[in-house]
Amino acid sequence: MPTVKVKFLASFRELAGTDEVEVQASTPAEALTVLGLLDPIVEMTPLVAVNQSIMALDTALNDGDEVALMPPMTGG
Amino acid sequence: MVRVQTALFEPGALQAELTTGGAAGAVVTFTGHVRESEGLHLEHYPGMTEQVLADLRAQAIERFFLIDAGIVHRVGMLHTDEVIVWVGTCSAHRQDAFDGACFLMDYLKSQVPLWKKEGGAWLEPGQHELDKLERWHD
Repeated sequence: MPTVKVKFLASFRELAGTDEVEVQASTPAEALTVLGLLDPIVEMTPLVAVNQSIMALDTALNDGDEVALMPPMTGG
Repeated sequence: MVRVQTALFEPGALQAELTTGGAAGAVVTFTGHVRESEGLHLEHYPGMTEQVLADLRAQAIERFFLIDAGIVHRVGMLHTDEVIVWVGTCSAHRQDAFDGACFLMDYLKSQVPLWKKEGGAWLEPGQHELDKLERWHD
């Protein structure tokens, strides 16, 4: 099982209570399940990035990947 | 030119940085300011935000035949009336420069890793911002 870094941005950092955590998971969805955060985060229509590219929650992860969970974006 | 920065910027100086090369008949710039606020906090995802902005700029250049385009966005704590965002485009004729600037701003509002927090609450993208993207879909 790959070890990955999970980053939580903006409101998700407050929801998760941390900005970054290391977990063992084969997909972003599994990482969130391990952390007990899948339902609350999915409810908030997240965007997922793996190594800073937008990917799906069921993307296969590799050792050392950086997964970022991002809430809806509000720039401009 | 793509920049994400905490520092204030001077729109005139940014416009002067656009490459017009003698071929640009039109330069369009937009500067966004912070509306009355007790403090607006802007967060980004270092690395990815810059990359998404660079991709967006490249798309605008290709789609609207721009000679150059620039995007500058501030992050950190911002106050009433301060500048927050700037886009500039130049093209041979005015319509492409106008359209390119509108395209960049419409995507900046909801498709770039930037998040606003005001008065202790994270803001959510308005439906009207999402609706505005429809006109750019082929």
